[in-house]
Amino acid sequence: MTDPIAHPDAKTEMDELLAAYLDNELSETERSLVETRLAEDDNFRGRLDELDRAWDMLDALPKADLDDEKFVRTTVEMITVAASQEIQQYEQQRKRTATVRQAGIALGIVALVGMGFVLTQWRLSRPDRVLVESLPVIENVDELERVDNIEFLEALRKEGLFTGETSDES
Amino acid sequence: MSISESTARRYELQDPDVRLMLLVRDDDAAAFEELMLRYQRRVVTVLEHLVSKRDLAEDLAQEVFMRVYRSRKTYVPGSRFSTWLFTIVNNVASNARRSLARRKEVQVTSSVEQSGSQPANPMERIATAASGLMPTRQLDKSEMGSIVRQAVESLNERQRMAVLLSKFEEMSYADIAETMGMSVQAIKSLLSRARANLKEALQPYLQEGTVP
Repeated sequence: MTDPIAHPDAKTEMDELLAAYLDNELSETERSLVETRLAEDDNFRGRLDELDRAWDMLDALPKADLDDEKFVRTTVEMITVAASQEIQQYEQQRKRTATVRQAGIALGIVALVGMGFVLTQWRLSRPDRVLVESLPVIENVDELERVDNIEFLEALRKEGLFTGETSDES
Repeated sequence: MSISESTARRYELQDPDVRLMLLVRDDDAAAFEELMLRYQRRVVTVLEHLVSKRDLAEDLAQEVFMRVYRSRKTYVPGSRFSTWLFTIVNNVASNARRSLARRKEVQVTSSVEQSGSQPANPMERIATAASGLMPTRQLDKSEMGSIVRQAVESLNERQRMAVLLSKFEEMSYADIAETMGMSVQAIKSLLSRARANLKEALQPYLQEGTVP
């Protein structure tokens, strides 16, 4: 049964109870209590009757008079048009995505080539590169200083002595 | 909220419209047409009473079915089909009312063409009609329809939706609560107040459908 503390307005409480009774939303016990009170209380019964008759008057509300076939046809047409637009949008989006992906790949390749070039340049221009190339001379600098004849040293260089290699002519 | 397999299975077994919707999910166009044929009049009727404009109600009903079709692939039966459908109807109607209120193009609460001397408020119109200036006579069907319609329009949006679902869709309080995203207790109070308001609005006509 409805809690009277939560619903201080007795009329509101009565209406809620009667509405739930008319809507068949009461438990068996509640229904039984309502029916007992209906048998004893004229006001209670009168209120139920008024609410019920007002509710029954809703049957006079006009129902939609619809051309069923036309409604189905136009709705299906709308859905078809909307679906084809969605497909078009999807295709356009797919093309845009593919173009962006291709451009990204091309940019990536260009970036990689550029990085490779820069790296190579950097490696070639390293300051210790000359030292590495001249390592045989540095290792033998004391001995080479004792040689007065530049032509002799030139001949040794041509022989590949300073690179640790021997020319094909030798 | 995820729906358990057993719940989905239960609704599939209980509700033939759920089975139709599952066919729609599998791209069965005939099943979709069948569902539309079963529900379109009911949806248009409810929407017409919610937005008070017939043309708009038909447009909105088409939007409802479009939403149903679009969401078919993700459909999982977590309630009766009608509960799910009228949840969409409620959302579409709410959006439409908000949009109408923003644009102020249409008086949502007045559907009947108003003559210059008639009050804009439905309750006032009802009171004027029942003011006793006319001799007592039997109301014809269209007059009664018009009066009841004005009485329904005098309800607030939530009361109106709850009344329409209860009266025409014969939904339980639990189903109405799910459709409208409210608690069962709130629906109980809402419908009680709606019944009382309808009774007040229709009081002059309760005696065997006569104009007092």
